[in-house]
Amino acid sequence: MALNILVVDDSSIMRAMIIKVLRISGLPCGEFYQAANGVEALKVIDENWIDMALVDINMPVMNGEELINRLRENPDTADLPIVVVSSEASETRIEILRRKGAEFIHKPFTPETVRETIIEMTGVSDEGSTENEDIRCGSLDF
Amino acid sequence: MKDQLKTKIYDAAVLTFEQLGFMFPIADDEAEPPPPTPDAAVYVEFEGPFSGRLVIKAYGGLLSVLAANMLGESDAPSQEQQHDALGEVANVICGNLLPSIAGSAEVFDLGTPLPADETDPGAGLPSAAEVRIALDQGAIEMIFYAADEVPCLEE
Repeated sequence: MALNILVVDDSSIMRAMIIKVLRISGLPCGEFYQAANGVEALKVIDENWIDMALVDINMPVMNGEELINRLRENPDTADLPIVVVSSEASETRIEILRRKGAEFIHKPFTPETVRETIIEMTGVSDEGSTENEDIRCGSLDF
Repeated sequence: MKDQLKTKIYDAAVLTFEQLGFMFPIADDEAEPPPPTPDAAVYVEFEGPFSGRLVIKAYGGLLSVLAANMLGESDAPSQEQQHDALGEVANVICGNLLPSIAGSAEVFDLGTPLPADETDPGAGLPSAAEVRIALDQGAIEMIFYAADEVPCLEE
């Protein structure tokens, strides 16, 4: 099964970096979607089939924690696998996020950490390349 | 005690530049003298057990190399991408630095990285530590401004 993955981060360069890491990870990735904050992410999720979201915490408009709360409240997205990718290093806050069912990847990260965390969370194996898949940001195609 | 804070800033910055930007520190005597003015400067504000801001200034062509390395592309990154890269690095350094000072149980809220005012980058706050690192491409200067007592400076 190829995973449709949403990357939510206010830094466009970090989104590009995460997608690059996922592309070379060997994981079965389908389409990549991007959002710059929680509000954009909710719109993307509403309009597309998303299998997993990688979410930053510190973002304007709607931060990652609020986004996770909104997703968990909605029966349609309550079980969506979420990986928080953040520079957050407070064990207290990380534990709160974990209690909401999110896995955590600490920035700066290595490609191996991203790959292993996704395998652990989704149970997918590393098969197939994703080199020619689409990347979409909201309604914009890249 | 100020040396302890400087060491924590240095360690957080080196880790971030090595893992995010694939850029490595070099000895000061191997580095070229830095230009008098930075190419760009950003700050990240934080609030928690103590509040303040971390300012990062980039010198000597660091920005374009950093952005290109983060993107993994040989094409020259745009100005927007270069400033975005510096902001993201500032955010990651700050996020790693604060718990190393206050302890991992403490919670801080970080602001969005913003361009720093060249004439008053600390917005009137006192400087607690300044650290300069020469990298294999360019250099960075970090100034840690604190509105409150910083734990490792209290002892």
